[in-house]
Amino acid sequence: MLDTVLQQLLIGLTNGMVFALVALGYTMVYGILEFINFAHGDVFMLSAFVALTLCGALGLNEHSSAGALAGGLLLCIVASSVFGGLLNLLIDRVVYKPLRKAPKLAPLVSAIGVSFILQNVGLFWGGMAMDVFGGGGQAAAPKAFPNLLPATNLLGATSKITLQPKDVLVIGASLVMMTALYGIVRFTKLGKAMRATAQDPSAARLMGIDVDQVVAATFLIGGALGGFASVIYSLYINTVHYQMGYQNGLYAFTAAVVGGIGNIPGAVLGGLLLGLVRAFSDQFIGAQWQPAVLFGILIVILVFRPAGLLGSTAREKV
Amino acid sequence: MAELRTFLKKIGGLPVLALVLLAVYPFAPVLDWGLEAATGQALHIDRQLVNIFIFSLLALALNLQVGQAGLLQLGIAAFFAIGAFTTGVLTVEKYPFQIGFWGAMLIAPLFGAMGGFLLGAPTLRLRGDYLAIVTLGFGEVMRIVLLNLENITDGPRGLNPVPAPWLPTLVRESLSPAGDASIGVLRAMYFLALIVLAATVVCLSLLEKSRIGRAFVALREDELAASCMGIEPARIKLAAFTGGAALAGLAGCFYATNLTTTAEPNTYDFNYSIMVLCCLIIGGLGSLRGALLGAGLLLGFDNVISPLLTRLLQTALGGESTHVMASFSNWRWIVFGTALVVMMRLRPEGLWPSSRVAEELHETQEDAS
Amino acid sequence: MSAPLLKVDKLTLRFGGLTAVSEVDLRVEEGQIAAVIGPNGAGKTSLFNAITGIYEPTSGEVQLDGKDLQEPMQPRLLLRWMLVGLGVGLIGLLTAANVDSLWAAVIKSQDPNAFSATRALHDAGAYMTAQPRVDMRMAKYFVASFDGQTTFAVVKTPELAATALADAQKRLDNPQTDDDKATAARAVAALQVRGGAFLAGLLLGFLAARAVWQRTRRTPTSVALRGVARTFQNIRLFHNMTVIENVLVASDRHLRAQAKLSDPGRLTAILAPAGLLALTATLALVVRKAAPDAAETLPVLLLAALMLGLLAWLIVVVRRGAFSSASLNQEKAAKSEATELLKFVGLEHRLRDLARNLPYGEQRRLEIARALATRPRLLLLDEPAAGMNPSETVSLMHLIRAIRDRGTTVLLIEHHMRVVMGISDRITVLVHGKRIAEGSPDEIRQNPAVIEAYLGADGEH
Repeated sequence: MLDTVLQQLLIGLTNGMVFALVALGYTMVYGILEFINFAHGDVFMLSAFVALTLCGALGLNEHSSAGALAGGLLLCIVASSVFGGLLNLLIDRVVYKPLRKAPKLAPLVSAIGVSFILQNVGLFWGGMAMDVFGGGGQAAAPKAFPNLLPATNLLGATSKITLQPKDVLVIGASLVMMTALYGIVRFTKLGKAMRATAQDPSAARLMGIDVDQVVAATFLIGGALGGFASVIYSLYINTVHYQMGYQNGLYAFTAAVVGGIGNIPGAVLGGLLLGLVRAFSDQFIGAQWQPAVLFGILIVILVFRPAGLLGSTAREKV
Repeated sequence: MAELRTFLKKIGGLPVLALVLLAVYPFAPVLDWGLEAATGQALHIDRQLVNIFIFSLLALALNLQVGQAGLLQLGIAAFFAIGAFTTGVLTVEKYPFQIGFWGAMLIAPLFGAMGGFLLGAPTLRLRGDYLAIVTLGFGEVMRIVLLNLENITDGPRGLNPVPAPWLPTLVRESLSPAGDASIGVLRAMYFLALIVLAATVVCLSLLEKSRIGRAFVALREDELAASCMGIEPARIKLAAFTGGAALAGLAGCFYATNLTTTAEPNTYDFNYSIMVLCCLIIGGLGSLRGALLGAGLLLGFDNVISPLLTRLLQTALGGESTHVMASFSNWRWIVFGTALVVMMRLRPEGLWPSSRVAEELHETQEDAS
Repeated sequence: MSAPLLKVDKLTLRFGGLTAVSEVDLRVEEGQIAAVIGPNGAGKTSLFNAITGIYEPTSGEVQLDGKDLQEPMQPRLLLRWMLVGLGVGLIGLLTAANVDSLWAAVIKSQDPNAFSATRALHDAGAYMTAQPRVDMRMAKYFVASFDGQTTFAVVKTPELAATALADAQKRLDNPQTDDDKATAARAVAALQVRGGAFLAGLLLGFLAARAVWQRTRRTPTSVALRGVARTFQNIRLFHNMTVIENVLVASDRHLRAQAKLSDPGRLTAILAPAGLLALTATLALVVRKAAPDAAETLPVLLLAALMLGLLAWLIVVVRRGAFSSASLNQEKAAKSEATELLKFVGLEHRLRDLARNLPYGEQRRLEIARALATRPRLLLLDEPAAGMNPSETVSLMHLIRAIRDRGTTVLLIEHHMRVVMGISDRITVLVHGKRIAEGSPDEIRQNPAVIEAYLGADGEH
């Protein structure tokens, strides 16, 4: 029993880290622009396709040499992060920016539209003829992501708890990224500008902050985090699918809301909480009830704390 | 019924003309004849029209929630599914109830309303975006629940066959030419859906001009000021949400009956909800006529234009291409997505908006800039 | 001396570390015009927001006519929370009992022809309480089982099934074999899980309902309905509604309440067709069940009655529920009342204009008319003269006096000293969230503390 609990704890932690990384992208954009960037999950998905394509092009698989693997992995991470960041930035410039002054519904609906376009692109991408895409020629089928890390148990083959190198990678890399983000937001000039803009965009503008640049940086950083998360997620799960952005985006957004949207530590807390709940509900209730359990918890939390766990209730100015 | 008379005077001849045209169409499907002569293929526009009527009901339901009450609801498919599966359980042979279409038509909206109330009561006080995510989640949960409760819903197979509505012999026979029962059933569904749709449109437009309609506008414009004037935002919103859910349940009942099956639960996914939202956005959020137009356009694209384009594409590529891009139905999300983005940018009030909503949207833009 | 209409006791409002209002006392006598003055940032608008329920006061009390402005705790609320708790508890119970197999046990696996609601209820109860029961009645076989897992007997007649059931119950009550002991233990465990889920749901639902109530016991709406109306410093009209619609929105609520009182048959009128409908539906079902092949005349009649009932019900609901009041007459009454109010504030020539097209001064007047339409006992005006020219200001003073003369007590915030000194009966001075003086205009004018802290510092006023 204890082994099961510990194992699920580990799985939950790992999943939660990925959720948290994606949730950060949602929460940062929400904090500044106050709208749900529905397309964020699909940026995550397309970044995974970039990594997959790169793996295919480089011919990386579990039999490659350790050096090639390390180099390839690094390249994948960099390429996906850059791709995710730039794609997110591009979407903002092309679609959201002209709508900054429109009613709140407009950017939200546009984001849903963009999300659908990206999903469709993912579907077509999956239909491309490439050797590395496992799972048959079907465009909509999940693609196998090569198992780049050894599947050995770090705790020894006899241990009842499995801790694989990829678990360590996910947790370690996520912690590094979150610390880096925290550092940026807390200590750099850009971070200060971001916090100021989140609090009051027009006041920030009056103080000489280039709000446009701050928004661009936010989208860039959020997208890059999503791209980064997509690589470690694909490594962890070993499949890439054109709808994975929707599923994980939904969970990540839920995590952001649970933690208090717009609140960066809240997103991490929400992600971890959701990851843990998911792991335990999969173990003790049944994987098929996963979404029901997660959204049930979301509703309960919002009833008792309408602004999320760490969010503060904003007072309307009268 | 003085208000009805003034109402008729106000709306003018167009809706009445449309109603009359639609009422006689099944007996003289001119468009079908024309298209059949031109393309050599039967398109069965009357069949598509039934789908459009049912989809319009659903769009009107969502319009009540999103367009009128301003609640961002992204899970309308859940209530549609509740209606369909309630109808399924109440009518299929497997279960002892078997109350038939007429009974189900009364009970399905009740269950839809119940679902709406249960979801709405604790969550409608939340801010707009939170509500969006809660309703989205509820849509997912409902789909998962229907899929998992296999004993009840038959899981991925869905409940079937849902029987056709029982009709008196006289009506049945007069609707079926030369004793062809299937045409009789189709026509029965056609007229039933048309009547219910027309009644719904009348009720909703009366509602729009009523006390509650005024409260909707006031809440959309300035919730705080409205609540300081004694309007209870939570109560009005809950009423709109429950009402919309009931209407969606009714649409679900028609859907299942028309399809003769509840269809598999995965039909009622997030994409379905967004498709309904999409047709509101295209037609004009908060506008009854816009919702109808949007429903017609969207289903028209899916069922008429898309297959036509696919055929053209296949001919151009020379024969049967199995590539994912060669079938136009695989492009539909790009088309819908682009439509949403472009509409929001160029014409946020929709193609055929109500005048009030158009003013609201434009005013905000002018004020802000 | 009669009790004051508005009584604010030691009201404190804190935002984080900032104290906007600190232990302010305020009395407004019925039929007076009272004013709150003070330099910018003195906490005047915050005080208004706390009174009207927009902000939750950190501490202190607000009473209107001796009654608390927040919804008092009542025993029936406990009942309501219990009901919500019961609902959530039932959901918990169902989830713990596994809806799927419960449904299977009760409905699906039974012979469709032998369906009876009583039996379904009985079986559901047996399943919920983890009792042995006759599980399935397929063809000729009756299976007595517990939780569909342990089969006690498969028999051919109902009598034998009853015996098997009694036997099974005996074995569970007094288990001898290991098998029976395991089953009995499982029954207890199942009951514990289901009971636990029920209780947890009950508690959760109760607490959730209580939390929601706590948050909404004092909302702008409830304050407005208790007779306090207000205007806003930065005008908050419904800009895309016409002038008369703005007023109608505010008068709808009490008109509806009035309609309810004057029309006790309202509920019956709505429910009667519904009852008729239910009756017709039941009849139709009975007829169909009793004689599936009978001549079709009766079903046709019933169907027609059904549709007529539905139509009648729809008409009643739409006419009574959805229209501005119980009837069109009431809508007319509302309109004439609104027109009268607009005439009172001098906007009768603007009825059909959109609110946003009015000039500034008229927008302020419209906001006052809208607030008056809620028939308040106390009207709070937040800087009504802001941005008005001298002649508009004078007519505003007349208007405020006229409002007082209609019987509505007025409490206003104003910077315009001519207005304040000209019309107020009592003046309260706030500085930095604290009340530093209270008195008649003359007293305030001569109060050295006020002169020093406020007038002196501000110079010109």
